[in-house]
Amino acid sequence: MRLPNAEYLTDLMKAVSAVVDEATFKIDSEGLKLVSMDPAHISLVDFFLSKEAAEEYSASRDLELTINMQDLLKFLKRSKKGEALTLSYDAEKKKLTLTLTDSAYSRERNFQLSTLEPAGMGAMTTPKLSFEAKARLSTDAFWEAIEDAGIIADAMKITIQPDMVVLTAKGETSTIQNKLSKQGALVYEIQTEKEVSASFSLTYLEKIIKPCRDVSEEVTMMLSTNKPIKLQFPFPAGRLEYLIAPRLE
Amino acid sequence: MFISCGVLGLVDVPVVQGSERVLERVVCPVCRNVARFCKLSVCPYYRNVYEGIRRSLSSESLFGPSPPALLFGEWGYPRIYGGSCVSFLEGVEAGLLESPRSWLKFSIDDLVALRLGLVLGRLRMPVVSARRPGRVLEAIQESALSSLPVDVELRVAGGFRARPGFGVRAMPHGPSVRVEGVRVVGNVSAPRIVERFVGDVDVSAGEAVGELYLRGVDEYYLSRIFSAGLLGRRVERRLVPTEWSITAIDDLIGRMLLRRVRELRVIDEFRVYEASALFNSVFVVLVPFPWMFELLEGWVRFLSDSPYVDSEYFWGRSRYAENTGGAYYAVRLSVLRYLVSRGEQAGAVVFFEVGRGWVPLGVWRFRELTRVALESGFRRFGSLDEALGYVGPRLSIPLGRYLSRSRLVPFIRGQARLA
Repeated sequence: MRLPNAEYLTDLMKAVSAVVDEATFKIDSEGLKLVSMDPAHISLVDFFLSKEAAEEYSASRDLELTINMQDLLKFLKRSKKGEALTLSYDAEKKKLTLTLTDSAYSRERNFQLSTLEPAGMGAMTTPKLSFEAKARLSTDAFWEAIEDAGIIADAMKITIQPDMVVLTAKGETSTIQNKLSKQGALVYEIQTEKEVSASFSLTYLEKIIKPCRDVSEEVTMMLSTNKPIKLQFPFPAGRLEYLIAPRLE
Repeated sequence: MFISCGVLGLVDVPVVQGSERVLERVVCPVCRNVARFCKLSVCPYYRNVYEGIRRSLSSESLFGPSPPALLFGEWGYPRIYGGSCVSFLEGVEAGLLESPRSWLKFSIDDLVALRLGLVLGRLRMPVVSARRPGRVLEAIQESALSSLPVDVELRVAGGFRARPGFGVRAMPHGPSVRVEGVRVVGNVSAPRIVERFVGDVDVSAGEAVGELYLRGVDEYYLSRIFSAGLLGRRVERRLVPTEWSITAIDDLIGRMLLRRVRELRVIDEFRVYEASALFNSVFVVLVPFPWMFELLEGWVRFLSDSPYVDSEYFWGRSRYAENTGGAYYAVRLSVLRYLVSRGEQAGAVVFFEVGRGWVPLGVWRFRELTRVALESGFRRFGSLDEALGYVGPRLSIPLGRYLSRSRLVPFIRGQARLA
């Protein structure tokens, strides 16, 4: 797999590593896939990178490879602007090679990483959930609300109303509320018939949203009252979605 | 003379954050009375220790066994004061003065008397001198390296100070004198593996601490040689103030153990472990969650203050636990060590209550009391609320006061899971 821009994958992998430490990717004729939960089973990431993102792509057979995300990120963080990235996997030696090529200087750097034994979780699929409300808004505005809430609380309540999205945090003696109106420039779309709300741990929201700001400027949130939330971060040629279980008061 | 106003009037406790801040200045740590009411004739320190030591201090040199113990303050960093301590207690095996593992069975009076029988020979040194020690520092380092008590001779240069030294994390010591020379008399014995890492100036301190710990070198020994600037790459080596060294070692070992604990099987029940000694009591609540940790520290003497709290989730923490300070890392180390020994993973909420009678003898009792609690078996519970229902009535400070500060308890209660 050859990607024209190494930074692209770095951002995506940072986002995936918010949930998983050891990731088992499935590689087949369509591209790269991963569905995994964090150790406490509170959040789930569903990631897909289509072969269309790549300049070159070949997968002679389907395979699974498990890697330590921190090790992978250490290598990816060495990439520079404008460098292309080639990923190749030697199934026999169980080694993943990252090649960073800088065409302007004709330099090529190789990083080799041993893959791990899969931790036994095997194939996992995203649970089928239905949602009562949906909103599309600016990732940065969502992030700022999370940062605001972090001053006083450990959890944030997300409310989708027909005409606005409300993000509320309650501390012992104080309350912080972010109202994002449907008319404003920060909310792109709201679909709901009634008011729907649920609370989520800021620890998880922070870990997930922070890296996703580099992936996508907009986030789609899908919500039902006191049920898990689905967060989608659209990007070309792939899919990045999360589920987070709610905090019940 | 200083002692006429109680000892504590003159005990300088550095102002630090969080729970360590509560080392107040109104109560004398020796007799635990209000400092200004203290009477010369009743002060145990004055009666038992000080008079005896003063008589022997008239000579130009001091000679005695060192447990070994050394102490460096943080004042004046990077040129700090400190040095070796020698024992002045007759008929007490010197090693006992620096072996917190066996201290919980003593009374506070015994411990105060034991520790105040140590004379500190102090001098000022730049921390970087650890790299190229002069003769004095070399002798201090040599005594630190010893795993058994060793005889040390201090050449006194005056500056006798009778006031004892109480710190927030380090163990106390008795009077101090300014010294110009230190000599180790007799042989120093150290395990070969320790000597190997001390001699290796290409291994980082973190790696050396991890390796030595895995080979059975305990954290007290490690913090002593780390403080003496005997571990790490050559350029990293420096003297480390005792209090920093204690917490640095707790954290380094803790991080290493945490990497293992994250891989272990998660328990499937709620458990409570408990222990109390020396006016301190601890309740460790283990919950069926991947690693999380919270220390809730309540001081009975300061009921108006909310309990101090710090916590971490599965990923550990990168910022210093500034509310509970050294206690956090000491308790966490004992919990992680226990989990590794059992091959289990769990979340831990620790209630640590410090009673009125406590005097600042150091952070070791957090570590040791937690260890004793964990080693003495547990009670099983079906839910968090049942476990807390057991703990609540056994605490002196109402449970609700702790819970209002807790982050993990609401998290454990309210957080739903996907599967």
